[in-house]
Formats: sequence, C-alpha cells, structure tokens
Amino acid sequence: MAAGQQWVLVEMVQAFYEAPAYHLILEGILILWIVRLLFFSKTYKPHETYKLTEKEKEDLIEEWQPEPLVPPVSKDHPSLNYDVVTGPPSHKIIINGKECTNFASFNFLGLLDSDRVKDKALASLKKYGVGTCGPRGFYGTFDVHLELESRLAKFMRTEEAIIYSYGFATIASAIPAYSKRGDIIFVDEAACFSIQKGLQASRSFIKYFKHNDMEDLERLLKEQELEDQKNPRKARVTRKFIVVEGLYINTADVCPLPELVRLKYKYKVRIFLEESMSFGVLGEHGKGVTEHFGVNIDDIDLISANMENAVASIGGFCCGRSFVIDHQRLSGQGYCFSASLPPMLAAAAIEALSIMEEDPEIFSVLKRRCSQVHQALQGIPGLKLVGVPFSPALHLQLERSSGCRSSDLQLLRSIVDHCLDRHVALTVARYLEKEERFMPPPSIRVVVTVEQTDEDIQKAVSCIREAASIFLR
Amino acid sequence: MTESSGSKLLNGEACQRTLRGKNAGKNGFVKNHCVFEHPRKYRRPTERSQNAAPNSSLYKKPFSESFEETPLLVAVLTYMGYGILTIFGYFRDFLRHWNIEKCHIAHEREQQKDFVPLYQDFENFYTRNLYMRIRDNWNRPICSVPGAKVDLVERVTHNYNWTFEHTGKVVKDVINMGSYNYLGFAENTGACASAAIETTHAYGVGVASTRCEIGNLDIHEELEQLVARFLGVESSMAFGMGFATNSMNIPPLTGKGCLILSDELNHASLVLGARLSGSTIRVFKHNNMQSLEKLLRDAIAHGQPRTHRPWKKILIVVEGIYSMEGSIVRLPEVIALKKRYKAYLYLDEAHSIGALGPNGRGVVDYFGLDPKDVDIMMGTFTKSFGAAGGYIGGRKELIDYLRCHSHSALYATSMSPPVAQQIISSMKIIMGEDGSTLGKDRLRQLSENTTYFRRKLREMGFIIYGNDDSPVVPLMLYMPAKIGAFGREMLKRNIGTVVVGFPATPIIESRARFCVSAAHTREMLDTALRAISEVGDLLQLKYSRRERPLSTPGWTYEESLLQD
Amino acid sequence: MYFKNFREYLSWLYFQYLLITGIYVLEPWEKSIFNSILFSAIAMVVYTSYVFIPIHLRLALEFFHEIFGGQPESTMTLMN
Repeated sequence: MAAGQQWVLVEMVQAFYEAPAYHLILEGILILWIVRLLFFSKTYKPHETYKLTEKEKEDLIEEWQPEPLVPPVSKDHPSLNYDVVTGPPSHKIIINGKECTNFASFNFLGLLDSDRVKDKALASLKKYGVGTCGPRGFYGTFDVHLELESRLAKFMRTEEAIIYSYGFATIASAIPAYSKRGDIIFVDEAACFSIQKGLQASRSFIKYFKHNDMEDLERLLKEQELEDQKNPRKARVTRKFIVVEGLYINTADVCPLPELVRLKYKYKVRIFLEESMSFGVLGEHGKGVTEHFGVNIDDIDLISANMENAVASIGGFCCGRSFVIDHQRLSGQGYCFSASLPPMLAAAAIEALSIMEEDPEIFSVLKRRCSQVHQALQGIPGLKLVGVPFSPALHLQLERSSGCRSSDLQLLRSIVDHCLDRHVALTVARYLEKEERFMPPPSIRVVVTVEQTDEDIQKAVSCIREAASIFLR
Repeated sequence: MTESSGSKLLNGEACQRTLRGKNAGKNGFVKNHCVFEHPRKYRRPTERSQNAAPNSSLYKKPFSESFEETPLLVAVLTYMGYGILTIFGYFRDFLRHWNIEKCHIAHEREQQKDFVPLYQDFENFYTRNLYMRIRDNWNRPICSVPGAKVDLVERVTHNYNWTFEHTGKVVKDVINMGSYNYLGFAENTGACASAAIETTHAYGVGVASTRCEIGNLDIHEELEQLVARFLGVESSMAFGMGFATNSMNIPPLTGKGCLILSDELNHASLVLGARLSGSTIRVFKHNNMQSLEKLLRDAIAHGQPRTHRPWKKILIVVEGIYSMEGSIVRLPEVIALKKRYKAYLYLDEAHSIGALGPNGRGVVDYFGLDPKDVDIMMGTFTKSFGAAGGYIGGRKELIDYLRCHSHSALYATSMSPPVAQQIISSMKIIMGEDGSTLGKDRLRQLSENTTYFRRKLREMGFIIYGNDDSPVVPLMLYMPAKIGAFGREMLKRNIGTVVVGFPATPIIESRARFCVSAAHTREMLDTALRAISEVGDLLQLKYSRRERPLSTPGWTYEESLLQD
Repeated sequence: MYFKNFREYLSWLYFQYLLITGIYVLEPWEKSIFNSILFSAIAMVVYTSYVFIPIHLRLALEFFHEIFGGQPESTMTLMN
C-alpha cells in the first residue's frame, strides 16, 4: 500500500503538467471535434431543391385523380354469377334447383354426409358451441385440437402435427415460416395457388423447374451448387427448399417422390410436400404419396395437407418431425394470428380419421373407381384426358385450342351446362388469370368419389361424350 | 434480425406488430428522453387532446383515449430485467452448446446434420430463453364453451415448461377475461346453437369445393345478404377465415403503382395482405392524423418515388379497435382526410364489429357516420358472433369485382354451413330480427361492463391504455418477470387472462389484456377486479401517477348503482 | 399492503426483488447463481469501502490541508 497511497487526484494533476505539449494539443483537437459532431452536425437532407410551396402542393392535390377502386366487371364475367347449391353438397347435389350427381366436389371418400361424422360434430357443438373466440395462444386451444393433432401425427406416423383453421392458409403460412429473404426455393411450375402465395410471402429467391422434370430440377440444383462453391460463406446460411405437390391439383399427376428424395440428399435441399389432393387418397392406408411410393416419411421435411377434401371438414395441417413443425407454433402467421379451428370441425376431422383408420378398404375402392373413370373418359373426341389413372380429380382439356382462352372456356362451360341439364354436376377449373404464374390450360374437372356407382359413371361419361360431340365439331 | 424478430412471438395473435418490433426500443428511448425533460407528469394524452382540438367538431361525443407515459424508473428496471435474463440466456445456450446441460429442444435429424441449418442460432434465442420460461401462460387448453367461465385442462410441467403433462383434472369455472367473446355468443345452448345443430343435420360440416366452382351454398348467399343489410352497405361477401380475408383481398384491390398507408399497429394479416399486393407501403403513427395527413400530402405532391408519376390510387388501411392498444380509430377524421385527398379507406373491424355502437354495427355506428363513406368494410365473425370467418362489405361494384378476383373465392374452400348459420342467427339477434330485445340487452350490457371495468381499474391506480369505450382493456405490466407472475397469480385466483410481451408489444410495454364480454355478470367482474387488485398489490403494478378520479362527471348518473 | 408479521413482509420484499431483477422466471439453481454473484459483489463493495474509504478520506483531507494550510511538507514525507 505504501507507494500507492497518494491521493489519486494529485497524480492526475501532476500527470497533466508533465504531459508533452503535442499530446495536449491532440487531445484538445479531439475534444473540439467531438463537440462539433455533437452540436454542429447537420442532418443530410437530399433534394432540398425539390421543395414545393404550399400553393403548389395544394394545386397538385386538387389536380390528382385516382383510378377507381375497382375496374368495372362485365356482367357476363364467367366467375361473377356463382351456381347456387341448395342443401348439402354431397353425392346428390342440387345446383340451381336441379338435382345432379356430384362429379365436382372434392368429397373423395364421401365423408361429407356421413352420419358418424355428423354425430361427432354435433356432440362437439353441444359441448363447445361453434366459435373459439380466440387464437390458439389465448384460450383458443381446445382439448379437441390437441387430440386432432396427436391423431394426425399418429395417422401419418410422424412426430408432430399442427392444425390450421383454413386449408388455403396452411402451406401459405408454412413456407414463409422457414424460408426467408435470401433463401432459395425450387418449385414445380404447376404448383397450386396457395403454394404460390406462400412463396410470395416468403420473399425468397424462387426458381421454377419444368413440371415433374427432374432433369430440369437437377440442372437448377447443379447451377446453385456451382454458385455456392463460388461463395461458400453465403452458401452456409442460405437455406434451400424444394416445394412440390403430391398429386397436382392443376395437372392431376403425381410427383416423382423417390427421385426427389435422392436429389434432396445429393444436393442437401429440404423437401416440402403439399398433399391436399393425395392425403386420404393415395397409398394403402390413405397416408398419401409417401405411402404410395413407399418413401420413408421422415425423409420429407414437411408435409402439408388440407382437411377440406378427403376428410370433408375445414382446415389444414402440417406434419413432420418436431424439430421442424414446432417452429410454426410461433412463426406460422396463419396459426398464431388467426382464430383457431371451430371445435366441431376438429371433431368431425377426428371422426373422419377414425373411419379412414378402421376401414382402409375405402382407399382401394376409390382407386378402382379412379381407374374406372380414367378408363371411361379416354378417347372422347375433341377432349383430352389429363392425369394419372389413380388421381381422383382429373382434367378434360380441349384437344385443339381455339387460341383464345375465353372462347375455350366458353366451350367447356357449355359442355358443363349440357351435363348439368342432364343431372351430372361438373365444373370448369377456375383460375385467376392475372395472378397465376403459369396458367394451366382451361379444363373441365372431373372428381371421382367412392359414392359414385357404375351407372353414375356411365351416365356421366355418356353425357360428356354427347356434349363433346355437339359442341366440339 | 429484423425479419425473425417478428417471427419470434411471445404468444399467439398478439404478435401483430412485426413491423414495429424492431424500432420498439427506439420509441421507448424517445419517450424516456421526454421524461427527462419534463419530470412532472408527462403523458401522451396531452398531445392527443391537442390534435383532437381542431377537429373536435367532427365528434358527436367526447373521444377520450389515454396512454399514460411509462414511469422512468420502471422503464430502467424493465431494461435491467431484460438484461439479466439475456445474460442468463447466453449462459444457458453456452451450457447447452457444450453439452453440459441436457437439451430439451428437438434435434435435427442425424442424416441431415450437414444441411444448411433450418434456423439461425439467434433466431430462437428469445423463444428458448424467455418465452419458454413463462410459456405456461399461453396455449392453455380449455375443455368447455369459451364463454364467461371456462374449464381449463390442468397441466403440469416437471422440467420448467419444456414439456407439459395433462393431469387429467379440470380447473373448473375459471372466469374468462381472455376470449374475444364480446357479445357472449359463444354458447352451446340457445337459439344460435340449436340453429347450428339443425344446419349440421341438413348440410354436414364440410363443403369440399370453392365458392366459384360448386361450393356456393344457399346459406352463404343468405349470409351475405344479411351481412350487407347489417352493415348498411350495398353488397357483401363472406370468407372462411378472418386472417385470410385481409391477406387475400387486399392484393386484388391494389397493385404496383398504388400506395397503401397503414397504421403502425395494424394486424399481421393487413400487413401481409399489403405486402402480397406489391404496392408501396408507408406507415403512419398509431392513430395520429397529422402523421397520416402529412403522408397523404407528400404522396400526392411527390408521386411515386424516382419516376414521380402520380400514384394510381391510395388506400388507407386502419382497424376499428386495435386489439393490443384498446384504442378506437379516429374515424371521423380519417374519413374527412380520405375525402379531402381522394384516397380509399379500408376499415378492418375485426374487434369492433358487434362490440361498438348503439346497434353493434362497429365504429361507423359508434361515431354515427354513414357506412357509404368507408370504401371497404372488413370484419371478422370470430369475435362478437362467436363463429369463424370474415366478410367484406361495400358497393356492389366492389363486391362483384371481388367475387371474380378474390383469391379466396377461387381457391379456398367456402365457409362451413353450421358456422354460417351461427353467424346468421347471432346477427339476427343483434339486429333484433328474432323479435326479442336480447341483442339490445347484450349491447347495453357490454358497454356498461366496459365502462365499469375500465373505471374501476383506473381508480385502483393501474395504467390502462386505450379508449374509454373499448372492451379491450390493456393493463400495463412492463417488467418481463411480471408477465409470467401476473398470468400465474391470476390463474391461482381462478381468472384466465391474456398476458402479452415482446415482440407483440414494444419491449418495455408488456401488458395484460382483458376482453370484457356481455356475458360477464357484475359479480364476475367484481371477483375479477378484486383479484386484479390483490395481484396488483402483490406485484406492485399500480404504477399510475395521476390523481385518481373520485368520480368523473360522465359517470355520476349511475354512480350509486356502480359503487359497491 | 397489510402484513401479518415481519416474516411475511420480508418474503414480500424478496418477491419484489425477484420480480424487479427478472430472476422470478429463472430456475432455482440459476437464481442461486445470481444471488451469490450479487451478494458477493455487494460484500466486496462493502469490504473495500470499509478498508479504503478511511485512508482515502485521510489523504484527501491532508492534501487540502496542505494546499490551504500551506505546510511545506510534501505528501511523500507524510506517508513515511
């Protein structure tokens, strides 16, 4: 302690006296500079010269005329006047007052008017009421939701599942939860609209490959690999995803999943699979396209599907490993910010799952029906059948397009109307022409369900044939 | 970090401020700075009343909204608390990284370890180290109607919230101050439920097609006509999900070369919709009309950036009641501005429809305005109607356009029939078309409850945000530990509340939120208030430094009745 | 707040400390780490101030005494 016992202030003052002059000058300049920075700095304002006077502003405001909020819609726009369905949209459906056989709703397994499903939904309605009055975080989680999630996970044999209250929002929220700005997504050109919206929301780089063309995909992946080698530091943080549909709603064909899985491991890209059309349809137990190809479900990073088609309820779900899925509970916008699925709809979905589990026979029936319809629709003059034989939603396109989309649509619409008059409900597949990235050609959608009998199918096919022979001269 | 900060929510819907999250700290600082300069009571309302003054003629009744300033000491302590928790977060991450501590988080699959990591390390820091510790306050599973009282599924955790176990027991009769059940239509008995039951019998639950193809049921048409009548607009359209109503219907309305002026606290769905539309987005200060007017003037005067071409159209996007702030949009002023500058107005009434106005028709009704002045009336059926979905109302041309161009109409499955039926019956009750005064009673009950609850809380000395008439009541907690403590202590007293923290709110403005319902009886509110006061003392939450009003003139007429 | 006894008051104070520092949400072992670090820091501050402040004060006093009292002795000699 002895030498250090000087009072510190004294030392400081002494040091100040002893310091060389240049040191003091330097410090003085430094202090002055800081003072200048603090008090005399001007904020940089660009375009000072553009300043408008108040008068000029007023004139501009007076002059400005906005476009109308919406452009006028022509009275005969094909999507303006919806067909009105009276009563339930089940196998027998009443469209515009006419009872028809339903070849248009995605009610593949015919669960929409199943009494078992209805009873469960009613029981749930009597217990919980209709709405949930809150998002999942704030007292919107019902025990039914948890049960449905675990049932879905069990059904799909994955670690975890997460449910959304709207089918469309499922994949559209899931993609941006993982893929951010700067990441890269490889997408099939025929991807459905909700995938496209998800891509848009993610703000990632999007690379489209030709529909089901694995060589094209591999070419893109190779290109990317070269790019990565040039800039390995960036590559280490750039996530890469492949987004495909199991069964494409727009083309009715199936993705080459085994090949995709091979590419996944070769190029270290994650696969997101949208299975809205294939869940509850393909595979021995209706698990979808993974079961169809015998692919290990763990090789797919995320599977999303909606419960609005085969399950005939409302909503959607994602399933996969907990490591992946759990992230959405805090990052899936459609999950966090939206009211949860009404419990009665969740209960209906649970019961539908039970039916699917108890009776896997239903899937082979559906498959038979699909190939039957596929067979029957072959060779209609003027119409081209698109889709694989086991797809439940097939497309009939014009063999020779007139070159004008709206007149093609008009033609197809008249075929549909002709069939409607003969009690067969079909529909023209609708798209937003300005929004779709790759517009699918106009088509009539034919949906196969297990409820359709041989006679129904025969009748429908003969109706279509007849209409085609009338309109497609 | 900017993007991921929005995604690391502390809770569900609350995280509506993805845009604001990152500059929250800055805001806080600015406010504190003000406190330095005016050490006496500084509050935002002073500036508010200033900007209300010149336009007060537009309001038919007093518009009182307040946001009391955060006390400086509290702000400092809050930052300190976050600091300590962050240090411990790094410490735990360090332990986990070196495998000293067992990691409860799910792992990447062995085969995919050499892939680019799915999450950045920092991405979930907040979730892992703060949210996880108090996550028992969110996602509480319930097993009854989300009415005035709910039954919660009891769950316990043996590893500090990493996993939960359900004990199989049920916590009965928890007073529900969290659900958006404003008019109490979340019921499993009564006219609405029985109508929904009948519809389920008749229609089933699904539709399995889109509106445009073959999923347009007669019940949907009926619903839309009713909604249009309810709102007082020419036409309307209903959609299956409230969130999607915003995010899928803004894009068809605006596009490149259009400008969207959005309130800084707008809900995530509006933000997403605006972003998907590809328009330029500019954000004005929350409910601040000067800020909006300045943006409007500049936008028209300067045109689009760089090219200086005039904007094609300008869309102002506001909400009726802001669900985290409890504030009501200054609609008369917005409409005046919109008319003066020829902009269009998109009004999201997610929380206000049914909850405000003498006839329950939302903010427009509350201010006594003409619904035709609002170009796009949007709202949800989730809250006041106890159902699900959303609507858009407006002129016939608008709706016709949407019917052909809405993403939802063409690509998404239409609304479930029993849900549509629930909306129809509850809306008819509100309109009095069922021949009873049930709807009127509920509306009156809600507004009485709101006034009573807000006044009591303020008298107790809590800092309460928002408008006096808003049934959304945020109570400020500030400190991170108090978020967890408040939720737990309230549940101990059998009251279910929502607590919200960063990133849903600015970092220091953590809060609890109560949603008053018409289904709450005076006894329930009193029980809740007693518990809130008790917990408020225990946690030292009575921050307010304003003189507590003994009686405010507006309330005196029912003073004797309300005083307990 | 009314307290039945002093112990209750103390536990309330401890609770406030937990809330304000944020360590309410931590796990017990983390709490004890925080507490021990904080208490050892405080103890150190108390100890050092006990040891050094008197010396410091004395030196300062003498320094000023020297300036204003005009005694010729230097501080160095004072120490020896």
